[in-house]
Amino acid sequence: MEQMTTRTFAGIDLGRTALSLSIYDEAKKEMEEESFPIDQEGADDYISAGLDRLSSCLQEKGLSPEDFTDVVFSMEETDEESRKKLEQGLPEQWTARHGCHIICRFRAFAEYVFHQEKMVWDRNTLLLDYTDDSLKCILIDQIRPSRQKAYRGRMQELDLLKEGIFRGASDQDQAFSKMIRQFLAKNPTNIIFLTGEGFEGSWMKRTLTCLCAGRRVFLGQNIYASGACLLATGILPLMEEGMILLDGPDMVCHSVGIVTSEGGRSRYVPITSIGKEWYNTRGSLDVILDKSNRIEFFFHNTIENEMEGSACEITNLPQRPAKTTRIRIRVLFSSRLEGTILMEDMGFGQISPGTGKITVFPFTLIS
Amino acid sequence: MRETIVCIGKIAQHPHIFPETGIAVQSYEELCYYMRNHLICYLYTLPDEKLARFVAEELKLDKLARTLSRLTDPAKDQMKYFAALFREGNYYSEDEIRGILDEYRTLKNAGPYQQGKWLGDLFFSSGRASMAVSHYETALKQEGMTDAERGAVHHNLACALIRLFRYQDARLHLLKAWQYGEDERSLYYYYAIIALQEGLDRAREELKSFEVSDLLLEGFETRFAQMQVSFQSSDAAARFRKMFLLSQKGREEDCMKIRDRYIRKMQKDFRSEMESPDYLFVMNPPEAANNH
Repeated sequence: MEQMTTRTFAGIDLGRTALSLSIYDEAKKEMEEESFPIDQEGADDYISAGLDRLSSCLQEKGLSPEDFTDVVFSMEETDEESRKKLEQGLPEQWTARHGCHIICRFRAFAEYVFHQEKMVWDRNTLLLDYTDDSLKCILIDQIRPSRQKAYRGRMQELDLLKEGIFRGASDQDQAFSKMIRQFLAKNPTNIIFLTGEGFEGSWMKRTLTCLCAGRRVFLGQNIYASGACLLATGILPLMEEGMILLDGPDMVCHSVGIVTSEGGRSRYVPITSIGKEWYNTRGSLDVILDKSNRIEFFFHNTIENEMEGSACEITNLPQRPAKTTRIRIRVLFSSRLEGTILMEDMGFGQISPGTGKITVFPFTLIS
Repeated sequence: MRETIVCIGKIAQHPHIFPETGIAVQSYEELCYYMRNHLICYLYTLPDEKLARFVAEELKLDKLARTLSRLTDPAKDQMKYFAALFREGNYYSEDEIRGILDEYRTLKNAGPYQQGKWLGDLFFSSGRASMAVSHYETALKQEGMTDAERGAVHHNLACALIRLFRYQDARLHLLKAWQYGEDERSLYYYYAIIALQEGLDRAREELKSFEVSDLLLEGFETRFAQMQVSFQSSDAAARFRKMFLLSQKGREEDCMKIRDRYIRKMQKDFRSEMESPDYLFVMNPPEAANNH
């Protein structure tokens, strides 16, 4: 009898103070979670320190990159330098097998929530990340009114010092509970996740009472790693359909597409969709030019629900019979609001050889 | 007005080659284009199961492949096959599809000699001269053509024979083309073949027997001279000059290399012109149309 192969996925969160690892075993249907603090010495170069810790952890467990079907990293800082550092710090064997898929923590939380049972994401869900003297709040709720059920993730960052909340102060609990009560009044929530070293200790009695009033509250340090791990298991249909609008740092909120006419009706065909970071957002579409060498692109702002159009003329193409020019469109983002559209002349097979000419069309979006 | 058509399916790693014409297609859109421009090949038959497999395995259009497979039955209406193919994607609009199906109907209702000529023209332009000759010859056996039409078939048949280096046969058909169609182009080609084979004087003499005007003869001579000048600037002439120079310089080995390469290319190009196996006859001969 053939042995069934089961898959194992990993999510790794790299933060300045800790490395978190979540491993999901499909056979056991279990998530194994671990967190390793990064000491002060390693804080300056926490990425390298984190990778070293990861390497030794995997060695202890007797695991290697080949044991995982897919691996996703979430990072506290996702600027270009940090991402490059992570990519370069990974062993070649690792990147050869898994590449280097990086997401931000905002997305990691959203992936965590939407991979849970419907009751978790079909109600308002909130993450509170208390790190240093700041509180990051990520709220996931339903967009109303909306013809189709769609969801939104938003992030706020509160400076706790400005709110008069000081770590270790005698009134920390009182001040925090007062602040959070006001926050929850404006942002009703059914489920709350708490994470970050700020929630450690036994200081939050009033705060917990306030949080737990009519809500379910969970505390854990592996939310981001678990979210990354769940993303590795597969992409959610809701995400693919563009039903989840993530309005956070790095996140792309515009879809880029074209409008085509089918059966006499206009139809918007997206080339890229929303729900990912700009560095993870790319798309490709092949079109045939009909009647002109112009392609009109449409940028759908999903936050404001507005559409903006911009046309590009492809010049210097050889003369060909009608409808025998295939153009491969590729969209890449260079930031949340900027990117480039590349249009490559593919010709039409043996009938009209392609020139390989690439037309570059940069774009800047309005948020 | 639509300006862009969104493509469907994948680009094939292994193209499908149509045996009748040797043309390869790699995408759904290329397939639609090919079928639309080669409807004449499928008046009494349809592409075989290989095409449906190609659509499924290479283009990843499973639903279309299943439909085509179901409709690949000569007893079934071929128009349903084309309608299903074109309607699957966006390459042709609904109006265009209706126009194509109307055209198909017209082709199917055309006389057998017309179908034969169109097939001959198609194979000739696809580099299948031998097959073109067969269809032209079959067309000539049909009745109902006007003199101009018969002349046109003789002319095109002669062109196909020239591709096969059958100059004597070509001359005969060019003569018939002139007799039936009285098209000067047929007469010019007749003149040109004689000029190439037997010299300008002989060609002039031959043409005088047709009692053509001096002006026409002068026109032919000028045209022929221009053709020779054009040839001198062609790649083939440059190749011959190079071979001659190498031979003059005593570099026989280099000369032979160029000659052998040229011969191999000519043989390769000529192979498809010569091909006329039974399996490439994908339609019934036009006389069978009388039974439909």
